[in-house]
Amino acid sequence: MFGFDAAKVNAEVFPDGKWEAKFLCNLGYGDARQLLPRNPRLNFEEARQLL
Amino acid sequence: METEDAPTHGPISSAAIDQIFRNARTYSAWLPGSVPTEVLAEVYNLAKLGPTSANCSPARFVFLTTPQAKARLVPVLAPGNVQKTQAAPVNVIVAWDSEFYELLPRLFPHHDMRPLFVGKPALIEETGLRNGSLQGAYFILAARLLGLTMVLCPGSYVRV
Repeated sequence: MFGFDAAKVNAEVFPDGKWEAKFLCNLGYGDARQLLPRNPRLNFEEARQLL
Repeated sequence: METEDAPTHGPISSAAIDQIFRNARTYSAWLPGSVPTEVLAEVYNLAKLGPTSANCSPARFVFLTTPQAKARLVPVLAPGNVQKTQAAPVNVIVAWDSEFYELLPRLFPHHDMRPLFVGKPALIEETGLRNGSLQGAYFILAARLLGLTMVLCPGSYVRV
């Protein structure tokens, strides 16, 4: 399992099957003193076509 | 009329852009303290204004704020995610309503879109996932606008 088991979340929280979990987030006020360096991003030239 | 075609607003302040994008980061640690329900509602009330196709608004949000509620997630998490998820003030399950189209008569009243979806599971799922994911992104940006940090649970976007 990588991340979370969506089927288990649905069974636990949405037993009637109407809503379905898609992803999990955590929310709060982050501690900036413990930030890691930002990972690289694709630059515009790599990620675009101009038509 | 020229005056009516003129833009009514320009870019937001550079400081606001810093907060939402340039300086916004995935945090691995949290400051102590809870997030009031009123703030969670404020985040939602901004995020709900983001566009979805036919205003279908399929996303649903479950907020787990108490130790008892958050404990319900422990068995569903990969072991490496348990501690960081339990440490966060709020866990959010971003979900979608598989019957979202039943609300279309209310959400898109000027044209009846509900019959397009009834009995079409593939279209329902594609529409629900696409628009629900968009709304999840609006939610992240709305949280940042309000000074909150929103972190995707690692790997949780992978279907398992």
